[in-house]
Amino acid sequence: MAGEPLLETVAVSRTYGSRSRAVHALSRVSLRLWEGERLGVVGESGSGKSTLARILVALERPDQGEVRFQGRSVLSGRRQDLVSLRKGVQIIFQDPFGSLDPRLRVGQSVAEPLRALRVPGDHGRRVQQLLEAVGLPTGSERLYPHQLSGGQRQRVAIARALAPEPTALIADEAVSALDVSVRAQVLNLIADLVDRLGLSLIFISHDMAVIRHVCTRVLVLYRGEVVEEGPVDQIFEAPQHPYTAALIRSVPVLGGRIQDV
Amino acid sequence: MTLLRVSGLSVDTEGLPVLRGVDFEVSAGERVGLIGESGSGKTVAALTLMGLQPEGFAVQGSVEFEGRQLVGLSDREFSAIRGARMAMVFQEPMTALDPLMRVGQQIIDAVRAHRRVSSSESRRRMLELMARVGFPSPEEQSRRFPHQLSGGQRQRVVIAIALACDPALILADEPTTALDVTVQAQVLALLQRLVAEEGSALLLISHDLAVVSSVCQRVLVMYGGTLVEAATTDEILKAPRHPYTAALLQTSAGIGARSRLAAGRLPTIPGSVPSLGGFPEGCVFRGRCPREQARCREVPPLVGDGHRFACWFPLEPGAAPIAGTFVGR
Repeated sequence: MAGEPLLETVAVSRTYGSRSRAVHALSRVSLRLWEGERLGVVGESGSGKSTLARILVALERPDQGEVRFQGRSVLSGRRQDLVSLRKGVQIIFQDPFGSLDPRLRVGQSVAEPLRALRVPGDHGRRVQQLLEAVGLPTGSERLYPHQLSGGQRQRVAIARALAPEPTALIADEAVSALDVSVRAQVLNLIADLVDRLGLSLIFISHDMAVIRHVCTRVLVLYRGEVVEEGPVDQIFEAPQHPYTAALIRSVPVLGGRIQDV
Repeated sequence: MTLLRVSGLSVDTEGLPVLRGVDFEVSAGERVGLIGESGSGKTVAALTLMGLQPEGFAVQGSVEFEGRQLVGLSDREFSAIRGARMAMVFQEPMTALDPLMRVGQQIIDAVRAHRRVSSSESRRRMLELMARVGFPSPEEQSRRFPHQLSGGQRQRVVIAIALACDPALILADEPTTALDVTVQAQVLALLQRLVAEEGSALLLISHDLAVVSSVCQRVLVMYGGTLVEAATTDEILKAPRHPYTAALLQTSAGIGARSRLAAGRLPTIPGSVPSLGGFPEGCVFRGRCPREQARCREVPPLVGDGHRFACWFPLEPGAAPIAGTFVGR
């Protein structure tokens, strides 16, 4: 892993609220995503994982610390650096109903980032290719979000994320709202696309089992701090931090026993 | 002893079938899991058992509880059973609790709803219940309002309310789905311990086969408003007969077991769950099933003794399509 990370945060902190009732959402979190890597971020509510996701795509600014994409600060205020982040790093959220405009047809939603980022080329054709790549049937571009199932909407969100040809994809609880039988389809799709397009991935989830399936390295967030970090199999086999151990023990397994943690 | 006997239970709304002839029984003290994805009808089944089905839902068939027929009871007759002999724990505790009332008072109200007890006696019972569901200082915590508690603590209050009148049956509909993983494990452990201590039966409704199989002795699998398989947890895990059950198991096991490098692509079920009214004629799993044949245009009956399944071309018993692929800990 020579050279510089594709995307990194250096000791970012974010506090909400005023002095007396301040909530430290993130405390000095450093994260490095290397080219072609699949990094997991696991945490429960209050861990700061969503704040981290928003900071990584510059939807939010940290109070302290640095965020770099391809070695350049995205907090510098230089428009060029922000645009390259917007093109290069795309995000998929948990609820595609919340992130897709209900008044736009699927085709328009997918074309929107192409237009906003002034990507040259035939947008109509690109949209067709993208919808095909995520396994949506022909003619889907004319439908509205409410005419699709949850799994299909998440496919649209993925197609839209891929539109500007990003180098990194961030999935924030991207499969948590899906039915069990559909979750596997979408997980396979994300993994296939990451492989085929050579993308780097940050997969954020509360679900250790899903993280283990998708990622090679994982970072455990607890109350805004990184408490453990390492190769996913190693962390699963021999967690060092008591919180990580509790998190792994809590994952219900088929035919297992409920463990009070 | 049979506590609950559901037979031929069908629910329709605007001419569309939500439940189609569901049959199952729950014995006293038994823990039964009802598993299904969205659109399976599992929540409507739970609401119908409690007489809480939405307006405009037509109920047919029979629900016998402690020997009494519940279908057709008036609201007033039902409310004498609800909360007293049968209690419910919902997914979102915030909606089950009154936001303007201290949690201790809500438990006291539940204690007094069906029984004449003195105020000092109901207060004593409230404190005892709060301690039993895991509040370390009930006296102080009973004065909190719901918003001053965490999600897990709120669900503990709901469980205390459910236990207030020693119910014979607790219906829990996705009781831990809105909770964090570590809190989920605590609440499930609590629920499992309490029903064992009280001798209550538990009907646990969930989309998560791992949760259900960890808590329950028997599993009912629903798809498209139909009960497609019913068996002991062990049989469901080791020798599922219905292709839908087998597919759900493979998917759940694939995610849980190993890294993608070791496990490869996850097994999936093609297509998605149809919306209400969109299910095929005949077998409801038609169109997504790998074993489909011409005969599947006819509705398969639920057959078998003990281990029951509704499929014309079931998996061989003991074929164990997934044996060894899931890990126990």
